[in-house]
Amino acid sequence: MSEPTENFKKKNITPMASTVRYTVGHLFWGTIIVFAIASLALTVLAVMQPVKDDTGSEELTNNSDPELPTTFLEKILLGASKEALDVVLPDIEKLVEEAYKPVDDAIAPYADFHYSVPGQYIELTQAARGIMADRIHDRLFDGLSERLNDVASNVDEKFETAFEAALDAQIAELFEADQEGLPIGPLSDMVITDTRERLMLTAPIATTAVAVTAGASLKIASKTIASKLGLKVAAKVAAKQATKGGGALVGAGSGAALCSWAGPGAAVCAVVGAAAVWFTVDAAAIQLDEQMTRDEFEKDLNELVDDDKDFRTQKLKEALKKRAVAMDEGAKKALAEFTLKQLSDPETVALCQQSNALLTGYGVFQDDLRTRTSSAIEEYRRTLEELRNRKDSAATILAPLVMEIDKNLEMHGYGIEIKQIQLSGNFPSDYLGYRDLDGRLTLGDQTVTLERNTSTVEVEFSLQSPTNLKNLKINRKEPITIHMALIQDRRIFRDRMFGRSILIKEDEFFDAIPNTAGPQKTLNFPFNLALYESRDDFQVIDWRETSARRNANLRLDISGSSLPDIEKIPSCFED
Amino acid sequence: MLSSFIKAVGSTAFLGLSLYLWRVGYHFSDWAILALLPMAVLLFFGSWPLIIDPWKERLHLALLPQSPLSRLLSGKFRTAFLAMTFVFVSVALLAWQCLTASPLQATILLMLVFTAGFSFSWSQDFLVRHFRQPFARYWATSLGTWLVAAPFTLIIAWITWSSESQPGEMLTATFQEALKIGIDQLPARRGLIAELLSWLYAYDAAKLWLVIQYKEYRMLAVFFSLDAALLGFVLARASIIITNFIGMHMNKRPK
Repeated sequence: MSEPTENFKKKNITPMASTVRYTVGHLFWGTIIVFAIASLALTVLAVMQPVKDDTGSEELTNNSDPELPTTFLEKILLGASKEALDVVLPDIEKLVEEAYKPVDDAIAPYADFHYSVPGQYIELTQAARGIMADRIHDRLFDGLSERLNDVASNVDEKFETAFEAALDAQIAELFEADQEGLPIGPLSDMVITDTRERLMLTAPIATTAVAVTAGASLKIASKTIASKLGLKVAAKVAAKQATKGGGALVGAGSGAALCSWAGPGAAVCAVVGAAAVWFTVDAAAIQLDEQMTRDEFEKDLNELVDDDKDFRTQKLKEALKKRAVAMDEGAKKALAEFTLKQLSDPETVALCQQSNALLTGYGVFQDDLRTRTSSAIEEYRRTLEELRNRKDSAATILAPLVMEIDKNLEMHGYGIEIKQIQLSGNFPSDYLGYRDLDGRLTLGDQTVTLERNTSTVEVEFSLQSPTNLKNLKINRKEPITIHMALIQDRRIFRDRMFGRSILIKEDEFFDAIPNTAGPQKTLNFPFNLALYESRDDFQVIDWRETSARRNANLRLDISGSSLPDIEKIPSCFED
Repeated sequence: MLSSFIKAVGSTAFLGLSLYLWRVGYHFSDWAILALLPMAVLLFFGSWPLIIDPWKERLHLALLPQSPLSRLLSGKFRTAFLAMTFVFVSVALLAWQCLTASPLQATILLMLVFTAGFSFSWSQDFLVRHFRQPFARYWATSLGTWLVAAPFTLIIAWITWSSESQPGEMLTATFQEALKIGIDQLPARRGLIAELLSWLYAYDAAKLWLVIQYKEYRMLAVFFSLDAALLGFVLARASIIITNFIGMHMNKRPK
């Protein structure tokens, strides 16, 4: 063995150094033993007792516990938000009702105030000063904003509790068989813990629905009531002015005659008398007005408050649904994982190309309403489903894109609304004439009244619905049946009833969509109008199969829901 | 051979238990950092002779004994600086990596620690027959580090590239979102340790984000994995320092 250099040797052989080293050596092995015991103790502690971290979520740290399959995790996470939504949604109405109870209770006292002489003058002054809305707000909606905030927080809390309960129940159900607690592997536990943590932060409605609960939005409701009330007060006062003007003059005249005994004070006596008459007439008028209109006034106020209540209930429900959707989105994202190998795998590149095709397909749905038949959308979505279910190396990279496309199609792909309807044509020659025409049309369970028009002998009749019809949607699940009725007003003679029911199958409907640009399309369905005794007799026909010469046309202006652009396209698709 | 084995086991047990205790304890409290303290102290004092002894020997050969520069060039300042730098970098890196390491990664890293310690000890026993100390130890340190860390770096890089799961939300995240995803992996508890670690988590997330943006360049993903694997060099050196420390303190009871 070689000797150390002289310099090195000298430094390393002192007895003192040897003693220190011996002691340090013992310390080293001692530290290892202490660490081993501490590690064992902490591991046992972590396994035996779920540890609460600062966020209050439970953390399990046993690495040997089994991981839950991704599909199962997805099922329980998505199921939890749905269950929580089912539990909490029905409660919102009750909670809002409770928040509005003081408002409902304040209506009768407000009516008392409104139908009082001082109340009337105060309202008049407030209207003149432009502060009526503020005062109404104080009297009716005082504290409502805070109560609605409490409702929002309460709903959030209930949702979180229900979500956690649903999650726990689903996990507990999984392990019911062996009754060994919740042995979840660290990765699965991380996803669940992450979901619990996100629960507090994801779109709480106390934050997102602030526009619904804020005092400023209630002021709008107060203003609506104030403007309606202002008109009533003004009308009432104007009506009374005429009555009371005469009354006061009479009061002053008769007062002067009655006060002649007062000598020099006769003038003052006359003014007091006139004022007394003025207020007496006023009080009598208000009492009469109250008798006649108080019920209606309270009913109007109740309706306005109920409208406001419904509006806010609806908005809170929407906010909660959005919260549930946001939770689902987060869970889906958290579940999608990938490796770097997958990222640059040739298989991924191939999959990217396949997804480019998917994006192209989505673009076709976006641009051309004609392509959005149920069968085409379903087929396309089946492809998406297949991609989602693929467990090979690269499918996960496309998961967010696939999920976004699928969500867009589910929410907007099937939606077609009828915006306007026009019925035009000619009656059989025997029935032509200069007549007023009324028309009505039933589509599914909805009825549309057409605007009255006149038919002549020379020009074909044309009846239209109001523009921009609301919520008249095509139900794709069954053939569209449209019942049409036209009533020819013959004044002193009995009216004539014309009509037809037509049946349009989905493929016929889509075939009729013209190849024009834009989301708004006009569809024409020619048919044969016939004379009937009553609307119940209308013969239902498949419009394509009518062989008789068509003398009328049904025009539908439709609009498809626009499909949103894909927000998060993975970078390989961006070029 | 048996002595080398015992030293390597000691080194592996010490590093493994320190880091495991930190990993488990950090979920409970910031005080878990105490588990890293003995490791830091040991790495500092263990590095000392490995750095200063070769320096002094070189200086002894190069500098004339009567030169007043010998007091200035004692090498203590340089050694303290290098040892402290290594301690800071290695403890921070190891603490960070062991918080996120998967069981597979942890197993491989422990194998690396053991192999590095064993190969250092064995090669020192071999080299000491041919070289004077402290040069035998100096060469054994380099040899042990490179011979073990280089292949293990490739193994770790391969595992990182092919098996380690990355969060799917990174695929569509913006840069800021990516940083947030990275930092969110820390326990929600704030504190000085979390602040320090957040830089490392953010760095890792930024790196992953870059790889995703340029995923068509496969080499970038390979570099990402290699970068993650460079930890192997730090760990191998730490193992060697501790193995050497054990070797120096495994003397028999002084008489």
